[in-house]
Amino acid sequence: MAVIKVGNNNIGKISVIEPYDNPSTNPSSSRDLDTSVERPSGWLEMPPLQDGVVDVLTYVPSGNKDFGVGVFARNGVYNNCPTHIPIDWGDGHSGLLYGTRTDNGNYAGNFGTQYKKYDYDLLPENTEIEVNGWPCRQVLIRIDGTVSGITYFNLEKMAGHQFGNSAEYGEADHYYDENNVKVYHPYRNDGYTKRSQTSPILEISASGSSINDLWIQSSDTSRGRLRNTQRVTLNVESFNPYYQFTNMGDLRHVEFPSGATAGRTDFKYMFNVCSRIKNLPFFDTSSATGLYAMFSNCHSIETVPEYDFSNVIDFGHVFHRCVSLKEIPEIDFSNGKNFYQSFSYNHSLLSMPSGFSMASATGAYYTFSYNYNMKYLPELDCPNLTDIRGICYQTRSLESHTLNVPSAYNVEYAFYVSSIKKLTIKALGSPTSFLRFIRSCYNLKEIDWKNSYQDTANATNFQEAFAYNNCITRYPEINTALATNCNSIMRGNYLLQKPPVLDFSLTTDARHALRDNYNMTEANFSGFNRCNAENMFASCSHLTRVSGIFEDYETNPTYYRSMFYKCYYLEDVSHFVVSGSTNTSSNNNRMFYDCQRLRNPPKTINTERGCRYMFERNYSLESVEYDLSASLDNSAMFNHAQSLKNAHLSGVKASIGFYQCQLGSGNITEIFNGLENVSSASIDLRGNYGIYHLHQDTLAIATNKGWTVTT
Amino acid sequence: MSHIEKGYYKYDQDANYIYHANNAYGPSFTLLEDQQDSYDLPIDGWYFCHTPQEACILFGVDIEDYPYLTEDPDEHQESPDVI
Repeated sequence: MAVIKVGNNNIGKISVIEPYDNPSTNPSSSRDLDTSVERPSGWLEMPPLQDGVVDVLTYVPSGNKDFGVGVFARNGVYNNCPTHIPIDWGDGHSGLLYGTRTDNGNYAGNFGTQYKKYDYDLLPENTEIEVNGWPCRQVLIRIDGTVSGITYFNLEKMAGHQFGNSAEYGEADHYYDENNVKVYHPYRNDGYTKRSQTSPILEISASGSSINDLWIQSSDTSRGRLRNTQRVTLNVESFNPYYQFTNMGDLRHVEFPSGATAGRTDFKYMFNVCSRIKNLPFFDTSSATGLYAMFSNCHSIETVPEYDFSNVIDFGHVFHRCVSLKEIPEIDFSNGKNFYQSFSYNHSLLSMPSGFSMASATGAYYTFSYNYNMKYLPELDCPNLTDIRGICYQTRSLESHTLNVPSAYNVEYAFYVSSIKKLTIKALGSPTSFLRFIRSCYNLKEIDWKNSYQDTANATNFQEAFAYNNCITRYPEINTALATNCNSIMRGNYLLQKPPVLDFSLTTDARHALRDNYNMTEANFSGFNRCNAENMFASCSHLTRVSGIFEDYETNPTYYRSMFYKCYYLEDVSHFVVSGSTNTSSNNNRMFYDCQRLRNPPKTINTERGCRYMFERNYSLESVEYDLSASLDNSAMFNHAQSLKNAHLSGVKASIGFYQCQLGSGNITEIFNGLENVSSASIDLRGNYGIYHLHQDTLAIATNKGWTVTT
Repeated sequence: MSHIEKGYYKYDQDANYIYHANNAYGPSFTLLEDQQDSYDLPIDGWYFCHTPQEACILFGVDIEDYPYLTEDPDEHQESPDVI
C-alpha cells in the first residue's frame, strides 16, 4: 500500500471530489423525486381485476367525522340507463347508483352521483397509513357492475366538488349517518364552490369490456386534483385522453390497453404535471391531431415510446419542462404546425433525433429554449415558419445551427444567450424587428448569412440585435435604412474591429449603439439622423476613425451625452461639425470626456447645447479655436484638459470652465477679450498657472462685461 | 481625497451647476481666499463652505448628482484591458 505524505505527515486516506456541473448555469435535472413504482406495503390489497368492476382505494384523514366523497357510474347512455349499479362503500355500508327506469320510484333526484361520508374514528385502526405525513385510514370503494355492467364512470366528485348540492343529493339536503343521525350541509365543498381540493384516492383499478368513457377526475382541475394517486389501471374499451391524468403529481404507474385511445384526436394535457411518472405506456395516437402540453412538466421521464404523431398539428408545450428527458426517439413531427415551447426546459436533452423535421411548422416560439445541455439540433428547413421568437433562447451548449426559414418575420430573442459558435441563416422572412435577435452569444465567431442585407431591409427595430457577442470579429452586411431604433445594436462586441457600414438615416435612438467595443478601430455610416446618441461609442477605447456623422447639421445628434466617453485612442475628429444638439438637459454633456489622446478636436462647434464638460480630461488637447456664440452652456467645458495652452475663443456668452488647464496670463487675457457682455456668468480659471500673474486691469476686462472670474 | 474642499460655493439652479472658487472676482465684489469672515455672505449667491458635502446640504441637493465636486483629477484612470 502506498504511503501518501503531505510534508512530513502521513495521510491515511484522502477524499476525491468528483467534478460537477455548475447547476447555476447548466442544470441537468429538477429536485430529486421519488419515482418508485413499488406499491407501498401498508396499502390495502387491491382485488384482482374483474370485468365490470371499478375499485377505488381511498383514505380518510385523521380528525374527519364527515369526510365526503362521491362516485358516479351508469350502464347505458346519457339518459337511458335501465339498471342499478351497487356500491360497496368499504366500511360495511352499501349504496346504489340508480338507473333511469321509469318504474324506479327513486328516479327523481337520484340518478346521479352518490355521496358518502366517512368518520375516521369508525374505520379500522389496522388500515392506518400516512399520506404526506398525515395519519389516514383506508377504505376500498367498489362500484360493482358484475351483474349490471358499466359503460361509464366518473370519480371527479371524490374531491368533494358539489358535495351537498341538494339537486344531486339523494335525500334532499340531508342524509342519515351510521348512527342514524340526520346530517345537514356537508362541509368539504359546499354548493358549486371550486377549491381545487385533493381527491383522496391512492389507487384506481377498473375493468370493463363495455366501459367506453370515463373520468377519473374532471378536466376542470379546480374541481379537484388527484395529487396523491400513485397507480391507475384502466382495463377498459376506450376513454378520452384529454386532461385524463393531468396534475397527478404522484402518479407512478399507469396502464391501459393501447387501443383504448384509438380514434381519439385531442390529447391535450393528458399527462401534464405528472412529475413522478418515469415510464409512459405506449398507446394509440395514430389519429391524434392535438398534443398541447400532453407531457408538459413530466419531470421524471427519460424517454418516451415511439408514438405515432404523424397526424399531429399542435405540438405546443408537448414536452415542455421534461427536465429529465434524455432521448426523443425517431418520432414523426413533420406535420406539426404549432411548436410553441414544445421542447423547452429539457435540461437533460443533448440532441434532437437526427431525422427530426419541423417541415410544416408555422410557429416555433421558444421551441428549444432553456435546453441548457443540447449540443446538436438538425437544420431547420421550414418554408412556412413565421415565428421563431426565442427558438434557441438560453441554449447554453448548442455549438452550431442552421436555419432556413424564408417566412419567418417574428425573430426577436431567437438566439439570446446561446453558446453557438457558428450560425448559418439561409433565409429569413423580412422581419420588422430584430430585437435581441443574436444577443449574448458569447462563443459566436461566425454568422454565415448570404442574404443578410435583403433579409434585414424591412426592419425598424434593431435594439440589442447583435449585442454582447463577445468573440465575433465581423458581421455580415446589415441593412438599417428603415431602422428607427438602433439602441445597443452592436454593443459589447469586444473583438469587433470594424462593424458593417450602418445607415442611421431614420434612426431616432442610437444610444449605446456601438458601446464597449474595446477593439473597434473605426465606424462608418452611410446616413445619420438627428437622433439620441448617448454613449454611442462609450468605452470604444481603440476607436480612431468615425465617418458619416457630424458632417453637417442634419447628421448631428440632438443629444450627445458621453457619446465618445473614454475613447482613449481617438486623436483626430477635425472633420466634425458639431452643430445640432438642442436637448436642454444638464445631462447633455461629456461628449469627448476622457478622450486622452484627442489632439485635433472638431473644426466647428456651433451648437446651443452639449458643450458642458465636452473636453474634460482631454489630456493631449493643446490648442482650440472656436466661435462659441451659439452655445448656451459651456460649464466645465475644458476642465482637466491639462495640456491646453491656447484657447482662441470668441462669442463666449455662457459660463465656461478651464479648471486645471495650462493657460498662461497672456492666453487668459485673450480669453477675456473674447467674452461677450453678460448679465451674469462665470469663468472658472482655477488651477491655471497664469492666474497668479493677473493684473487687476486684466480681471476688469472680464468683470466689466458682467463676468465673475473664479481662481 | 476630493480635489476641492473649502472655498466659496454658488449654486446656479437654472444651469443645475455648483461653482467653486478659492477667489471670486465679480463686477461689484471680490471674495478672497481665507477672508470669508470679513464678508457678509452670501454675496451674489456665493457662500463659504468647508466641504462640497456641506455646500450640497446648504443648497439642498444630492452630492451624487454633482460628481465633479468630489472627483480627484489626479486619480488617472488607465485604459481597460482589451481582450
